[in-house]
Amino acid sequence: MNEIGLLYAFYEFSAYSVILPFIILLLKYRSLNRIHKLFLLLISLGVVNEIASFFMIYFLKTNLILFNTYALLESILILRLYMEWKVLKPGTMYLSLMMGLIVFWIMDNLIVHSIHQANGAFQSVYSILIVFLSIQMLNKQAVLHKQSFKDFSFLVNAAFLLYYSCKACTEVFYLLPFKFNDDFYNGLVIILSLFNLLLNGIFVIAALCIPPKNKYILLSQ
Amino acid sequence: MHTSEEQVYIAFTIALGLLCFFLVYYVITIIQYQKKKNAFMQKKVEAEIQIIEKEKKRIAEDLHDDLGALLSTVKMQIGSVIVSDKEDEQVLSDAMQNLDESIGKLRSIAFELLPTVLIRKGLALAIKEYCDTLNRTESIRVHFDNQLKQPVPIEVGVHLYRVVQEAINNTMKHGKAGNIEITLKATDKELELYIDDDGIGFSAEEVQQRNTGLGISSMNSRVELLKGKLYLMSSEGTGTHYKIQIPIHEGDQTDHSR
Repeated sequence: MNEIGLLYAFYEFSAYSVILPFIILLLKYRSLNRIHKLFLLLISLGVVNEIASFFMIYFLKTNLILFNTYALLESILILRLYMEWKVLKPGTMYLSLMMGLIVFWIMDNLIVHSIHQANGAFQSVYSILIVFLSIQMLNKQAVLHKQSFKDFSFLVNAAFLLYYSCKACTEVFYLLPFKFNDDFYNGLVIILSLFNLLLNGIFVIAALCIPPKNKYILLSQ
Repeated sequence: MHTSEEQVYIAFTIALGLLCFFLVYYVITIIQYQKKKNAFMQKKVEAEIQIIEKEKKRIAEDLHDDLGALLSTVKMQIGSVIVSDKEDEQVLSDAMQNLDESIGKLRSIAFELLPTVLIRKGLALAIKEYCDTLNRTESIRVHFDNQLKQPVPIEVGVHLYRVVQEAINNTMKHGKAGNIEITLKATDKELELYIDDDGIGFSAEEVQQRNTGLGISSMNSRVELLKGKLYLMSSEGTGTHYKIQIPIHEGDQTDHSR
């Protein structure tokens, strides 16, 4: 297997690692609360995206429409997650952010650029937004509540912070009007894939940290 | 046109700038949440102090008005009993003595909880009465210098009285002082209370280690509740000096005397 083959294999391995937290969440479905279920929906979307991408590349030779659409759906779901965590106030703040993202997505993918190309502007903006929200959430937990490293929301937010910080920084290299060589871009893909692997690894731990549903003791006769 | 190296350098600088921006945002938000937490804790302490004061007032009034009145009635009733037997007379006399002692203790407990003189005659007289009691009952000499020429709001008076109690209590427990000097005065904008003793003092580390034990946090909370400032100056061998400054607001409910 040549270098490109290895890179592709690692990229695929990193992408499909999302299946692991998905399986764990499904197995623990009965213990999931409203926020956990929303997170499961986000993970399911990731799994569907990976599987659909495989078939689209196989049959259509491109998955760019899916790539751009997935970014919008993922950002909306993550916003919803932050609303549930009370980092975003439900109502005006949440709705205006969501509307802002949708408008920006339309501008980037339908008006300024084409949906058939990889559009980095939206990817950068929503990554930066998620970094800000995860920082808010982590600080809120650290200062106002007792923070535990085994806490589901702490782990998920730490993972978001790591991954989306990396994603926002790597997007800079795609957004600038510079043309780097292919090895450089391959390096960026490896870095992002590594962070994606880390993200899914932390998601696995977070899913395992979800406490079992409260057991109630029934009174005997 | 940039060279390839320059392009990489520019892109890396922007990416690094973005990371620095995240870091700054992290620091700003943690400060914001810390401020929120401090404000919340302050409000919690203030609410606790207000509940305690309310409860102390209620218990003091119940003791004074209900139990005190009842004991006085019993005393009158016993006093009206005429007995011929000398033994019975002695029993009645002992009972009267015990009743007097009980009434005295009850008044003293009610006074500790909320001195009526504080409500009726104001902060200065309440502190003076407290100092007189200490001078009579304790080995420590407490001198009170009242330079106040204006009435003190009741709310302020209650908290300052508690601060004086706490400071004197600290001195008697830990300070090993022979003399305490209390000065109460006011400027146009502030009410100033000074409490100085000639005891052994304590180090800053000791204050931090025994913060709750010394009741300093409670004093501080009361002063902060009044939007004032508390300064504590002490070191080993130099005594302890408290300076409390409370802003005076126009339109506060005032006590009826100085």
